[in-house]
Amino acid sequence: MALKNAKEYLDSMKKLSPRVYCGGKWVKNLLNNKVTRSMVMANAEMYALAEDPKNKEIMVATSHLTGEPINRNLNVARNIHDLDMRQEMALLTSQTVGTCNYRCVGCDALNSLAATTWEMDRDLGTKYNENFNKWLKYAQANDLAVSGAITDAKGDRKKRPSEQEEPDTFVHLVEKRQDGIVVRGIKVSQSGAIGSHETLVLPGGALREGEEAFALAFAVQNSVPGLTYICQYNAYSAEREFCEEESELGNPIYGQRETSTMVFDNVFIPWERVFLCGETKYCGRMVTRFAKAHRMNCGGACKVGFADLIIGGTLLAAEYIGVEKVPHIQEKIIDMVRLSETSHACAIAAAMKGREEPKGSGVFLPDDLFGNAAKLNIAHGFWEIIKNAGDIGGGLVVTAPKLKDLEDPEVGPMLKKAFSAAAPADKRLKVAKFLQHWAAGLHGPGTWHGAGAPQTQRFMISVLTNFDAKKKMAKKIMGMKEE
Amino acid sequence: MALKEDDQGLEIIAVKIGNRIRGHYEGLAGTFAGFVYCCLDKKVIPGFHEAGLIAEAELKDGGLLLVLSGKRTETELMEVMDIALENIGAFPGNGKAKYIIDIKSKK
Repeated sequence: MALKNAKEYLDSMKKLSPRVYCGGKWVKNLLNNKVTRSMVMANAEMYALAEDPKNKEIMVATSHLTGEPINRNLNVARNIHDLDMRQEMALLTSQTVGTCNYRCVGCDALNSLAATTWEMDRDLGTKYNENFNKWLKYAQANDLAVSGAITDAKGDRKKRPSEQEEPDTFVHLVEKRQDGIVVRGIKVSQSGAIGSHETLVLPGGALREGEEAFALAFAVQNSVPGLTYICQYNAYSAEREFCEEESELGNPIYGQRETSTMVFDNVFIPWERVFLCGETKYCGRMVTRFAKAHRMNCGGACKVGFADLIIGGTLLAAEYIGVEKVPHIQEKIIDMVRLSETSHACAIAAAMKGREEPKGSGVFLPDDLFGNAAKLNIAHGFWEIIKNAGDIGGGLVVTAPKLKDLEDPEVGPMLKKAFSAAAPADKRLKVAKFLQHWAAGLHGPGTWHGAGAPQTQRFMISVLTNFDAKKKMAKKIMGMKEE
Repeated sequence: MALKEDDQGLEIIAVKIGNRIRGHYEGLAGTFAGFVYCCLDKKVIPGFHEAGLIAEAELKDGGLLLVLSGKRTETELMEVMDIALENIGAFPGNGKAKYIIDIKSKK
């Protein structure tokens, strides 16, 4: 089987028993818990999208290892077209579910692994790339949902990993055995790991000599003993958990963005699943290559898909109160489009200017400068977009009563009187709830930090930009002599 | 997509109950080693988090002898193994088994 459908994915999830804790209790079945189910349903939609012939160009790729059709979430980009379709996939998936494509981080992690393990085998004579390609064939053959775990808990930021009082704040090596390694430690903010078949674990950042124990990359099965997931829990989780009907919520089926803290308590990883162990020199470039891919996709396409939804909801809110033709409303809508499309343009540019890295590997990665510009632009732009959604949507975005209250015989008529405008009250309340999901939800900080906080993009842009060349150009135009 | 075991880095694990092989599972090479680590070192079966399910576990003749606590029918034993192997990333398959898990119920 090379392509699973949504039902097959859901059936496979029913068989898995990851150790998941959510909101004060252990979750025995991800599909029976309203909060965890929203994450699984979003992943199922990723499979459904690939089933639809009209999405084939975007969602289905050809495996470079077997020549078989595969879900693009498991594809290693081999050319510019692959990069372009990858960012288009990020756009399409966000537009469709209004939350994460939870296979996205895994996709970008495997592209980084394809490039970096190839480089390590070339430089060091290791077998990591061979192992990785075998794992990838297996993942492709079974169309596995793969998430990615990068961010360590990190502890005291003034201290290096080996200086932490609590060594588990970074995932690290406990034991090297003849048949594999034993690891422990904590990764945080892991999007959709609970509903994935496997997770690709990468180092959280560049490492130095002496920090070999923290230099690890591997693939781990979702429900392997020793691995525990502690889910995020917030007001939106509680609202979903205790609501009478999920249709009342801002994103009824797919929910907010669901993440978890992954705790590795002496987890065994066979050597066949290990893609880096101790080679500190390659950790920085492994993470940088991941970030290069993820900033194009997460920053320049995924959040643009969210922006499309927010703009759509905002237009409806304006129409429902009869202000859609007011000039300053139209101006704000245009600003929202300008901000999101500028980021998408950067993502397209990052794909088009992508190149093989390292030379000879056959792996294509996006242009770093455009990818970072895409992410930095949307990190700031997204706040502007949700600000305008709150502005045009009005106070109702945060003051609306429950939609079902409209049906109450006593207060329903009062609410209909209060909130009927150019459209019936139920439409206004529905769109207000939708905009609340965005404007007062989790996606603002999520967009800010996802794929790295803006300071990391500023640093990369400062490294990647040739400032001297720009000064030279200016001097030449002004007729100033070089000193 | 049919993958061959040897050159593709896969391994076949057979499940034996009594004298009969009751099923074959295909996983990435190293899956059996992972399964053994769970049973011997962590004392739990993948997919089952409760302690005490394993009464005995030992490596024997290159395979694994696994005795489960409680009285269980062959069908129940097979159900446990089906869940356990899928939870460690091995799916129903065919081919020559490299490893055998001999599963029994404690009498």
